[in-house]
Amino acid sequence: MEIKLLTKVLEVNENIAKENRLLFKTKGVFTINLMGAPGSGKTSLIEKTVILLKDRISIGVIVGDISGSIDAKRIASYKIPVVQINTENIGGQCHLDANMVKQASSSLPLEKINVLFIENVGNLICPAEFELGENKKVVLASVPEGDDKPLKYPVLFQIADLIVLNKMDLIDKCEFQVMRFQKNIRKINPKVQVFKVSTKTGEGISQWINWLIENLEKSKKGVS
Amino acid sequence: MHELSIAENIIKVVTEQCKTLQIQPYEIVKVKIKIGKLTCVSSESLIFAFDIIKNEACLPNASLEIDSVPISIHCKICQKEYTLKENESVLCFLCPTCGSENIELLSGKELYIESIETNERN
Repeated sequence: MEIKLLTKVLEVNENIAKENRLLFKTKGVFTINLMGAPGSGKTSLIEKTVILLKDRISIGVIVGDISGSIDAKRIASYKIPVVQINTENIGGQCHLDANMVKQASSSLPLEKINVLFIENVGNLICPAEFELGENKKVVLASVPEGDDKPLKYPVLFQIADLIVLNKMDLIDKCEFQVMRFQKNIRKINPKVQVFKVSTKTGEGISQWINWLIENLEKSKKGVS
Repeated sequence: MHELSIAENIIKVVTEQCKTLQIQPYEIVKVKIKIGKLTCVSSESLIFAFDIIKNEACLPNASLEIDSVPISIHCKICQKEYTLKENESVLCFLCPTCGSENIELLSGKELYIESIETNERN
């Protein structure tokens, strides 16, 4: 006997993501799911943002890694709230899911946080599938990865609300063509903005900071 | 390897449904799922993961049947529809006919359980 279900496989995750979204909204927290390959500079972008904004807004961070707390220690040195999630304890998962974020959020002082960064596990495939309850999905790419990545890993680039291209300081040392990268992105996500930055030199970071502030304000007004 | 998480989620949904429908999990012989090409889920890995963990969940007799759904788009400008061919590796969100970026996705993001099948006794 066949019984029709038509139930979403990730329904449980999506329901928890909805709870997270409501919790963040209630507490007035603007949340960013930061995704990108290992070594693209996710932690560096957060560090740079904290340095530039810590006197203006309060930032919290959830860091996802398979193992260790190197990134969390880096971020904690700025005296901001940070929680490390290690997925090695739960099967070594290559992405964060809504339940991990829910657990991690419970140990953060959410009422005191304006912007919460969720630094996903470094991966260009799996994080795309799991809603966390975030306001915006930001994908961080970097010059040494090559300009063909949007075509090789289209799903992540397709769901991005913003794409940040890091390590522009290495542009002369790599075969990377910005025009080709942008053309590849346009094929899969025609309307998305691309910011060119270097977390090392600070190039282009102001554009990212302005975007962040603007979207934080929008979310306060309930537009985002 | 998000296939393991997805296999766990499938098993969670199926065991919950068993309770609702008052079916014993071991009676389930087939779980049919639809997976869109955009989800980047590998069918082979998913079946492998499902078969490893199904015994723990008391679903020893269940096999996973996967229906793969191609990516198709509709252009809001020229009103044409286009389905990506099996071997078409480059995903493109521009209309192949008129080049417009004003398109909507018709299919390709599916990730749902279509049905469960119990043995004939029922």
